[in-house]
Amino acid sequence: MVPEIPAAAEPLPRSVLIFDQSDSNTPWGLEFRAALVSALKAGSPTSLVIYSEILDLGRFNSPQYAELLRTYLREKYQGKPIGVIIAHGATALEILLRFRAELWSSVPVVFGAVDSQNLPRLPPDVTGTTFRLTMRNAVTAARALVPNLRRIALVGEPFERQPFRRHFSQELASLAAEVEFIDLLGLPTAELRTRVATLPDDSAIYYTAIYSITGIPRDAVPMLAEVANRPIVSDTVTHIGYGSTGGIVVLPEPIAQETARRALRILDGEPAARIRPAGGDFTKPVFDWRQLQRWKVSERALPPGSEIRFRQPGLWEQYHWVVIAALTVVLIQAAMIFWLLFERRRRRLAELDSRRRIFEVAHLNRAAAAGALSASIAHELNQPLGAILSNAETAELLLRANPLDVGQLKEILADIRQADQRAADIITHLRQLLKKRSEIDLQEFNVNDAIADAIHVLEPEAMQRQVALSVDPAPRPLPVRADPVHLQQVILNLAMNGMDAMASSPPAERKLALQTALNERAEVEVSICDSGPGLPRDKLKEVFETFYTTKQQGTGLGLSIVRTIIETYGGKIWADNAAAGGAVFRFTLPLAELRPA
Amino acid sequence: MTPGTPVIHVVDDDASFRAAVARLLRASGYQVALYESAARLLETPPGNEAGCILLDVRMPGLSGPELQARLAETGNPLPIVFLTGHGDVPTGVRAIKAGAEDFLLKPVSKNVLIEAIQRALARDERMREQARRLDSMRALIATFTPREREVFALVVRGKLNKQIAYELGTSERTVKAHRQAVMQKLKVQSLAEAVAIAERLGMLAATDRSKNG
Repeated sequence: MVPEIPAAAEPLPRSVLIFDQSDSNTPWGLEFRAALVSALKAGSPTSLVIYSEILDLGRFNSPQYAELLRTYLREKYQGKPIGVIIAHGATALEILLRFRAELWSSVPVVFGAVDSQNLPRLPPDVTGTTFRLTMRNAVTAARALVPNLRRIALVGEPFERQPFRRHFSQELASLAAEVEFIDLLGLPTAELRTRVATLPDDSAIYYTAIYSITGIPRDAVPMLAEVANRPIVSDTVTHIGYGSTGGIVVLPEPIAQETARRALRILDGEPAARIRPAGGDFTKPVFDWRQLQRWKVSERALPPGSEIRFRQPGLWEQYHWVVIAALTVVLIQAAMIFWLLFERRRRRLAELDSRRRIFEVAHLNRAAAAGALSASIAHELNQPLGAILSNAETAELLLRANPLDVGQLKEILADIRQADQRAADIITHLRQLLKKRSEIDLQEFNVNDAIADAIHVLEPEAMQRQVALSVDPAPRPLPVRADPVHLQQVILNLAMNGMDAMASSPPAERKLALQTALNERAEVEVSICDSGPGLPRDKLKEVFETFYTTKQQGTGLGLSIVRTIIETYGGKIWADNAAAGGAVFRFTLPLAELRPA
Repeated sequence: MTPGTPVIHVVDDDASFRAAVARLLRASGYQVALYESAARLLETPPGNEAGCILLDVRMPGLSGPELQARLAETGNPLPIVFLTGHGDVPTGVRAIKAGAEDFLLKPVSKNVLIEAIQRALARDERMREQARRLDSMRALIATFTPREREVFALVVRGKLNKQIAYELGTSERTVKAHRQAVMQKLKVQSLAEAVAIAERLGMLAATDRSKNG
């Protein structure tokens, strides 16, 4: 039954038995075996047979069980040559060494994850690595997390029940000078939870291991972290990520790698006896980024070479290409928006400038119109002035009479006042027309009123030219929003044009008809119809072009200005010939709502 | 207003001015007749009384100068003073050439207006005087016998008695007697005076035309 002892010179079978004391579910065990298997496979040039015995010796370790296990293993591995046995943990090593003489007497053994103090006496072909947890590491880590650290709360099973931490009781004494320890070891869960929730500010929690709940120390970490009011320091990497802030922790991977290295050296022919067992420091400072954020610990305060896990990458780390692309797009857009705004501003300035110029030209055009009307206006103005003078002189005559004719004097004074008012009205109308303006004086007014005003100015001229002027206003008010002076100018220009067109018609046929209406599109429509010869059909559009004129002294600006004004207020203007002969100019303006007075 | 006071016919479309000027003229001692348009004046033409027309130039319908022309056609002798709100030189010149007494601009001061009206009235008076004299001369001539008329026509043309007798186929003595009767009826002493009357009445030209025609 005993396997053949291979000759020293013979190469060892390329097979490894992993003799693991841990439970198949412990995080540590899983990580250790995964790292071990992958290191073995990676390091072996030829294929390797790997057997695993995961024994859960922490929970199942009676002498009777050990006997059964021995029988079981003997049966199981009969005819299965083993090159190297890897023992994981001190208990596994101890049992293995007990079984070895019978089962695998000459098979070299490599052990790992054994506390140096628990190391039994070793035969020469047994080698491996040991390590030792130390409280010093926990204190160092706690200081990094809590700068004003004075106290450390110790949480876990009593140290004598923790295989890897039995020696902590001695270490406590040497550290007591530096830090005060709050002993929460072995407390019932409920009490423990209360205590860790009410720790002083200058303290940290050092969680070692609690096996009593599930058998797996890590399972207690979230339960503590949930209520703890201080950061939790650990010495085992598997606690990190479950609520522990971190610490200088022992890692399974480097132990597994070192163990695999030794096993491979032996498989490759190196005598196990020549590879000395050695202690190793398999720790590394590892911290949970999320917990560091929670406890507001700066990464600079951590021990040098610390590994930060679970870093939640910022937007930049996670999506920096997307961010760069988005920023670029935004920048380009911003630049374009800026450029468009700039262009818009330039355009607005140009529009304002051109509008100002149009107003200047419009003003000149009004001045010209007023000049053309000056004879009529002078005539109109001299009527009341003449009346005033005559009345005044009559009054002088009457004052010399005796008795005074007071009645007539009163009449005279009333007439003077009336005539004076009339003269003032004429001047007001004229001034309105000539007023120079840089900005539109937008008002809401009735088109019918504006036409009545324009007619007031036009009537004397029409009389002079023997033109019959007629107005047919819509029965309802036609409110529009515009500058009334501009609208008057439009009417004046169109009316003067009409009268000019009739200069060669017989006086009896000279008729100028103004009409206002609300058209079917609910726009205000004004038409000015003359009885002249009309417009040539092909010039109906051209008449509105700048510098189009048929008159000797015309500037060709009148109708162009008229169109500009109408379009400024959102209206349209067009020319046509009336069925009865003569030209009709029509324009529309949007209807405004006249505010109730 | 006593009858015989001159009547100023004011034609102006502007009611307030019409009223004002009427008031002034009445206060200055004239009778005033008001017309709101030229047509209205033509409808009710002024009577034979002394006066003048104060006429606006620019009015709806018939204008001032047009009225002036119509009145001239109908032989209305009333002098015209134009009064306008805005007078340009061509209009003024045409009006004066057509016989207007004056061409005034509104506003017009009382003195200028009254002076112009007085001149117009004086002219009216002169024209009336002249017309009266011509009428009396025509009345004298109306008393001539046909033969006396023939003799008178030839005498004022400077024909000798012998020539007249030959032209009329009568004797020189008969002509001489007719000539004496004519001079007596005309109450003139010399041939020159008789010629002047004939000239005034436009008889010389008429005779000429009849001869040539």
